[in-house]
Amino acid sequence: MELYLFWTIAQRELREALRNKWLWFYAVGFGALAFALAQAGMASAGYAGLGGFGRTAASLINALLLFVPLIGLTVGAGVIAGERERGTLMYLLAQPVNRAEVFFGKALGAALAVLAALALGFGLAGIGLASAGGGEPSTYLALGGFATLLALASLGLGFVISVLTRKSATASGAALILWLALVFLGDLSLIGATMAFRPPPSAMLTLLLLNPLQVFKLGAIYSLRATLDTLGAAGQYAQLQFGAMLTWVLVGLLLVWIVAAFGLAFALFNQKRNAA
Amino acid sequence: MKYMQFLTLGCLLGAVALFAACGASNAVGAPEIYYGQDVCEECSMIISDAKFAAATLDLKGNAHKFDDIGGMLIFHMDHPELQARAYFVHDYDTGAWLRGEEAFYVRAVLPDAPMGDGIVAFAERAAAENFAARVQGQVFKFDELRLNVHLTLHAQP
Amino acid sequence: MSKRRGWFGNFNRRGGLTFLKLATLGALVAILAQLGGADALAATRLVVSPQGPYTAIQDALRDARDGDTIEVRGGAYRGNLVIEKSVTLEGVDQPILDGENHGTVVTINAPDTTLRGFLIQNSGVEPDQNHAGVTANAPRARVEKNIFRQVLFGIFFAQAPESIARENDITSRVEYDSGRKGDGIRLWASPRAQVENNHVHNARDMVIWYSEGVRIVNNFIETGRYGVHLMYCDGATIENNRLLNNSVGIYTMYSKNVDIQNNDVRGQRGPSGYALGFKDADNVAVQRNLLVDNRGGIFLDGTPFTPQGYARFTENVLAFNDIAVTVMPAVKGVEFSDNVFWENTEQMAVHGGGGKFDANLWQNNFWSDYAGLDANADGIGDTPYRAEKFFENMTDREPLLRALLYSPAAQALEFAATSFPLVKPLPKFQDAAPRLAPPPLPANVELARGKPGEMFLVAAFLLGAAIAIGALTLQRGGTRMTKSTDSKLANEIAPTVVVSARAVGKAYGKTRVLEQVNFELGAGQALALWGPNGAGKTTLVKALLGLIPFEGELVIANLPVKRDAKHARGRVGYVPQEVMFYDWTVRATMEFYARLKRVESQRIDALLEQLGLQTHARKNVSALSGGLKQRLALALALLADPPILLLDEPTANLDTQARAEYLKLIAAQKRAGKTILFASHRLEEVEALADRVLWLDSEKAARLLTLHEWRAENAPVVELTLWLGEGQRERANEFLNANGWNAHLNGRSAVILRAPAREKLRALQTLQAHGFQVDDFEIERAL
Ligand SMILES: [Zn+2]
Repeated sequence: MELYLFWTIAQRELREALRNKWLWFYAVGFGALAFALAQAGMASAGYAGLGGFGRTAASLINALLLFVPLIGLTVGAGVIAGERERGTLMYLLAQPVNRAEVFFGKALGAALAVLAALALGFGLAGIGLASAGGGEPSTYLALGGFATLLALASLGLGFVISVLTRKSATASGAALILWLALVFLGDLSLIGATMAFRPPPSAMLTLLLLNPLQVFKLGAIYSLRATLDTLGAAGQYAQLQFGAMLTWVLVGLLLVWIVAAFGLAFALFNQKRNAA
Repeated sequence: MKYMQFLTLGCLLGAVALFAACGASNAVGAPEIYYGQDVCEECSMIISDAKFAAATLDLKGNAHKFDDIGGMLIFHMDHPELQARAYFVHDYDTGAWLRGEEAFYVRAVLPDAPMGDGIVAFAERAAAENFAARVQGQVFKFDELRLNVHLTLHAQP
Repeated sequence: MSKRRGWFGNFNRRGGLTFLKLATLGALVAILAQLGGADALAATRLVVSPQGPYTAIQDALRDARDGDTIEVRGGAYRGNLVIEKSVTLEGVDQPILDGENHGTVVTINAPDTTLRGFLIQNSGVEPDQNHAGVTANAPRARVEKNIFRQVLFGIFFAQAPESIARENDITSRVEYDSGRKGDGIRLWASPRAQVENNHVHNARDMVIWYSEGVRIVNNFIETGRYGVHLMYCDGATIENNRLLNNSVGIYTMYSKNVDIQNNDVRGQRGPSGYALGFKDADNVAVQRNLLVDNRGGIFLDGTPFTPQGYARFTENVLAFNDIAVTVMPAVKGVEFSDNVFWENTEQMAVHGGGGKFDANLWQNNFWSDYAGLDANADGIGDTPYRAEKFFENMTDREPLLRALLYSPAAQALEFAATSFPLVKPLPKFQDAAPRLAPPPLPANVELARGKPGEMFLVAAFLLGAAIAIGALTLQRGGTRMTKSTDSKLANEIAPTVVVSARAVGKAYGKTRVLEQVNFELGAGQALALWGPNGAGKTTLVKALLGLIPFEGELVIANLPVKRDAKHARGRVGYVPQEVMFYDWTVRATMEFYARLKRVESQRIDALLEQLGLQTHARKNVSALSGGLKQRLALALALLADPPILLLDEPTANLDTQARAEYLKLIAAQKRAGKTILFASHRLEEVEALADRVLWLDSEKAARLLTLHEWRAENAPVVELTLWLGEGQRERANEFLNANGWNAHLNGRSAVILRAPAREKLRALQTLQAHGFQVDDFEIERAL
């Protein structure tokens, strides 16, 4: 893999992705929501001032759980399927570049675009927090870090969808379905299973950790509040089990998701080589 | 979509693990207490000290954990609907789990006891009598202890 | 359901009553002794210092009499002191009392003893021994202004009524976890003791056993297990304390007449995690406490204990707790009035679910999630506040579900429940007269301080990062020619065979698309790929580009395609039937591919000029006509000046004139020495460009033909019109048909013979050999 080619393709992908109006729609939407939450929750006087940063930022977690995977999945789903549908992919591959340079260049470009969107959203929200007189920079950045990992993991899943589909409309649809599954359906079935089987906290935690969104949630809450006891027995079990390593376990799980998703997408992309 | 298959597989595995875990609790063995984490079901205090901690299994196989033996007995007096199938206490000397029904108990003033009941258990009568002599305590068998707790600790308001 | 355990008073015979009696007796004796002796003996002051007069505290103690003061000056002294006289030990410059990890550092056995101003360290740590910094076993001990470090227990008042612990700074063994640590302060059967203005940190509990009327005031207790734990302590007063980050704040068990006021309790977390807990307590008055950011604000079990007892919670602030109030289902008769419930994740939970709607009284509280109105402006909402949340009821019943808090799914459930009244949750309680506005917070309340300055910086950094990422797209960066040695090398070697194929085949699944493709091409030669649709032309193009796996061997400019497809592609200028371009200008398009091919940008201008595109350079590619698009494609193919052009039906979508122009351009490339492979299904293109033709027919082996052979192949059946000698027409016709030729007569006295093109001469020869005279013939190409 030649870095120069890799970067040339990444740059093109970035330019393309930054033109995606949905990306900015989500980023500004998230930023505005976060800004409003920050303004409402973070007044440094009166009762609100009792709360501190962690409490306010925790209310951002919901918004992040909705927006971040949406950004990652939709951007990712469009990348390969879109080019294949337009016919530009074949021409690009006919140039003196190899598939890895094309795939990972695209992945990097899309990832940078997603990062830019997140940085914009977090930046706007940060201004909201700061102008309300609050904010804890280190925890805020930790939250941003977890959001970045989640965005990359969902971007990877978007790439998997993108490689598997031929039309970008199909890819977008599949991305939305997957988003729905990750955000709602998985958790709803987990709620059902919990009511039905009353699993021990260890099993509950395992089931939670299967969903990268929940991994993010645990990581975000833990970095904001330095404890997971607000999540009951499963949260306490996580702390008991992993202790000081908890943050790194969660980071590691998200990294596994990222590597696995992009790895799978790349394997499938290479497999397509044999197809007409 | 392969991802969905993985997810489904994961859920299935989880569910299997879950059933396995539920099944395991049906065996008659002392439940595991996470010291410093679990709270006493009778008084809601954190269970910290294994020497005094106790536990029961009810007829449904659910575990109940207590920070002291007195609390265990009072809890089951107050909850006739949760009949205990097995009582578990710790040997004060060795820290090993004992079946509560077969242990020998000493009640004395022990400032370390979490609830002030001052009840500890021993596997052997001799060890119990030995300890009782040292702390000016009284030795009980299980049923005697229940009666004693009922009369002295489990008073009505 | 909950039953009261015995109060201290009716504890068993060996219990506290005996302690109390003994202690009271002891106190009386001491008081009498002092009253009797005070006038007779003037108190003296003994001085201990490393320089003397006394160098050991033990010596001074031996010589001291009741009422004396022993002044201990700065320095380190051996601990394990046992004080048997009613003296005052006064540390000057914080002298050190060191227990050397053995036993209790100071044991006070005489009443009215004062210990002030020492650094007390290194008690023993044996379990069950309660080794402490200071243990007092006599009434009215005063332990003041001492610092406790590396002790198991800090201060232990055992049967020391009316003793005082004041302004001490206590920490247990830092290396132990909270269960193994000793208590910061432990009181055992020490009625009316006072604990004031102490700072206790990193110790286990402050636990008070069997002590009536204790006062615990103005202490700061942090990072311990139980901040304050009352066991059988009637009449306790707990005021103005600050409790921070303990497991439990103030836990009141089996005690009555307890006042808890003006405490500031924050950050109690962990398995129990209550700011205030009550188990079987009675007559409890809890006022003006600030309970913030705890796992649970208030926990109630068996409280109030008696039917006539009370538990009153008034004017407290419960803010940002996970659950503000948790009650066991059987709890009844509690009164919550004039409290502020501000942004708790859950305002009230019934442990395990259930409980009676009206078991407790809630009135005039402020609820931050109250949505009612106040039409008559009396400050009280017109509709009751009701705690009715669907998901909360679920977590109350199954606390494991708390794991799904903050999940959008939980909120979706909540939303569904409020939208569809069918599953409307049961309210847990109601506040019939909720306040609309909270009273102002007391001015001295400590608020969370943010770091807005740093936060602005972080926000600016993030926005800057977003902009920087955007700016990355603007960076063009000169095309780096670092690896251009490759192309030089290729030019130097200038192979005679530029492209070769050996036994190339390809199957998709079980369908063979290419079979036995063999050819060699030199510079300036052109090979046409010929064959019907689906014959494998595009497949061969893809194989040449190394985009698909194939059998056999393809070599491009000495580079085997299988092993080095990428560099092989670098020697090929590829023009597809229709290039799909990105949405850029002509120039930007050229620039992008120039970068991919590592070509300097001067080349772009030359090519645009050469291909007549310079006037279109600023146009968006989508605005170009089909002909211009194909020219652009050719320009792109020529960027790296490759030895080979690979054209996949490049004129298929062009009109006649554009096609003619395009062919000229390609022909010029051929003349310039490029090796050209092109797929086509137009005869005139093949005629105009090709030197040889590769005839592809999917399942059959490919055939390499000269142009001549191709022509023959390509028109395989000819129609010969034969003019024969007189009278020979019919016979010749019969003869031909009898010998397997396809002939018939036409109306113009001629025989029409249909024959494969290569057989046509043989037909004539055969006729002549058999005596037919062919006067003339014409060849018509068959359709
Ligand atoms: Zn208990």
